[in-house]
Amino acid sequence: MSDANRRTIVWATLGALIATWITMPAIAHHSFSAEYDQNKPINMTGTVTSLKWSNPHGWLYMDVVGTDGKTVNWAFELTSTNALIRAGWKRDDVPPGSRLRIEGFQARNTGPVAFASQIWLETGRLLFQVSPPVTLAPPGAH
Amino acid sequence: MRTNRLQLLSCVPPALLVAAVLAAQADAASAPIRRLPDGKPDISGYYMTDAGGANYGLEAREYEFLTPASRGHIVDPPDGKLPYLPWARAEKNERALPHRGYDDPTAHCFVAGVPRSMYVPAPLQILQPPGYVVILHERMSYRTIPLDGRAHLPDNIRLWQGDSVGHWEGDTLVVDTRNLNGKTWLNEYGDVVSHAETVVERFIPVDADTVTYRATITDPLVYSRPWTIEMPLQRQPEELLEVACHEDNADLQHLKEVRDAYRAQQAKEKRP
Repeated sequence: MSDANRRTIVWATLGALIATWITMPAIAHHSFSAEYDQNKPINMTGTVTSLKWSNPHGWLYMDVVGTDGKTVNWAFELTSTNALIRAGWKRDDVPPGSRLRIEGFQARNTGPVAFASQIWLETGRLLFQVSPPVTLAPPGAH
Repeated sequence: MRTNRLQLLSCVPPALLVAAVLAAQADAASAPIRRLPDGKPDISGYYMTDAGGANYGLEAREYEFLTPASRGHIVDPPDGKLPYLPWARAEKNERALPHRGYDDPTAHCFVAGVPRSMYVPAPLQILQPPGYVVILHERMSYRTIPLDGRAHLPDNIRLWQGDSVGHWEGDTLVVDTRNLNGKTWLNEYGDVVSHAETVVERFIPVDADTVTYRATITDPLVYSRPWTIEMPLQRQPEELLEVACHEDNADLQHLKEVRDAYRAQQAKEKRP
């Protein structure tokens, strides 16, 4: 498949998701505040490598180029898979190659792991937002 | 059927779906309670508890970082406070700290116990086969509640969900639960129960689609007196989905790292 065709498919899929962007409380089987650090806000743009549709939570993986020029594959925790389903998300809604900007908070004692509190298309459209919204970090913070 | 419904749901903008459900509930608000052929209330169906943050604290509390607020659910004592014994209040306060997040049994995918199973943020289904009420909780647990007046299990048998027996008092279903194992937390904020916990729940039909849920918890090892919570169960069209919680519980490893780092720091500070 050519890159142009791949981009067309990616944008068509993301376009379908735009109609069902969601805002919801941070629903989990565990304490998000125990796992993630409000003093470590992140705001990153990158390229999706996979969306893991797993229990008890979905995970979005994204390659992010750091200020040192190195690419790191970050894991972003989503809300529960069933909450995503009920909000209209499907497992192929965010295909590899999608360009996203994600705001959230890094885990307290792990590597490139963060909770995604807001997910935006690179065009500026909001795909997901935890409710109530939490403090935003400046672009590039990580 | 389930697949079709989900496909339909996925095509409907969430705001429209919510509006439709609210409109249906408004229509049903004045409808009388449903009844079985024997005249008992028919409370079978799918419900979402209007839990108002009970899974994050039973006493009223404000929103904190990534932890929803709780509107407060305690109707007795009148001050809305849990009548903790001092040691248990101290334990609850420590459980709210990050290094104790690993200790919440639901983080390990254990079942939530009673009454927490009723207000974790996931739907439930009530069935009424002859002689029983069965509650299926999407969060991987269930209770089979006989209505034939049988005795509880022997006291030396202890269970995560306890042993429940029920009976009708007029239109109210009364469920008595004992034999609990004392390992559960009442919410993510760490509210405490012990193996001495017993629970009397009342399911009070209000209209065709609403049931008032009231639970009185007695635990003399933790509290100075019994206390009661209340919240509504709202009928909803959604069916239960699968939750295979052990599939990829990466959070548990992260929470363990937080706990281990705290312990290492504590040990370092204690060294001469």
